[in-house]
Amino acid sequence: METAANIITELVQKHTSELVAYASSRVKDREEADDLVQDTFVAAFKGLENYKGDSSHRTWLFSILRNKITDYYRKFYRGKDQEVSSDSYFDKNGSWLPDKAPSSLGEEEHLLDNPEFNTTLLNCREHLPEKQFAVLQMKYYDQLNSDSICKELEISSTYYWQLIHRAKLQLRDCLQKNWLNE
Amino acid sequence: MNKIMNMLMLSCKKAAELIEKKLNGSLSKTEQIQLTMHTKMCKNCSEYENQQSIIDEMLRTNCKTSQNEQECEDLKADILRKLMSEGK
Repeated sequence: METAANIITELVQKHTSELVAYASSRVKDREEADDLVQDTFVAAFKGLENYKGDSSHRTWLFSILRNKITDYYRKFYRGKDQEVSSDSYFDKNGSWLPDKAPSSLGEEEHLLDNPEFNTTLLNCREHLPEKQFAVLQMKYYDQLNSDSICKELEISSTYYWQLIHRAKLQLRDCLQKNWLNE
Repeated sequence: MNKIMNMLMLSCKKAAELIEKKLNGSLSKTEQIQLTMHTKMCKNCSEYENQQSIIDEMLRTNCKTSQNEQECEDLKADILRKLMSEGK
């Protein structure tokens, strides 16, 4: 008979890689992502005898991981539903500050297919604050709509749009600074 | 007349917000007109609009995070060690 230890070992071997890929698409801090995957397997090991087998092991593991990520983010966002300011980009009249004003990035129609530009964008994304990174990934990577993101993170829709807008302002600014200087 | 001018004249800060809204397809007719008027006259904001639609497109198609195979093997070993020590 297969023991619980054998089953869980097999699951770790088989699914760690895709669970980590998913966790690190959501959680910027790589160690945090690894920890969440580890916690997932700990919970799975404990729950193995209650596992009914009405979903595949893979689906089951992913649903545990998703809950862990949601818990992590709720803790993160709780009580922090304050305004996100874009004041570091504009003066008091709402005009672009001189060093933040958008200028041309070169031949823009070719940027989409440029691998180096893509790398620069990914590096810039790494520099976003964790909260902005999370909503950005949920919107673009998981392609969730704003209602489900707000519900999952328990944040208001106004706050959500402020986070997205702030993230996009920062990404663009970072691209301009790093792309033209390379 | 002043009232109309005020309604039509957006600040760049407001225009940038509307550009984000536009990319999500939720701009009202009035906002659409306000934004077009603004970007026609403002080079910075029209640049901003172009670049944000490129960024949107790239985020949607290229968001893979990198993964190192050796790191993954190390993590598997860590997890198994932890599980087996807890399982005793």
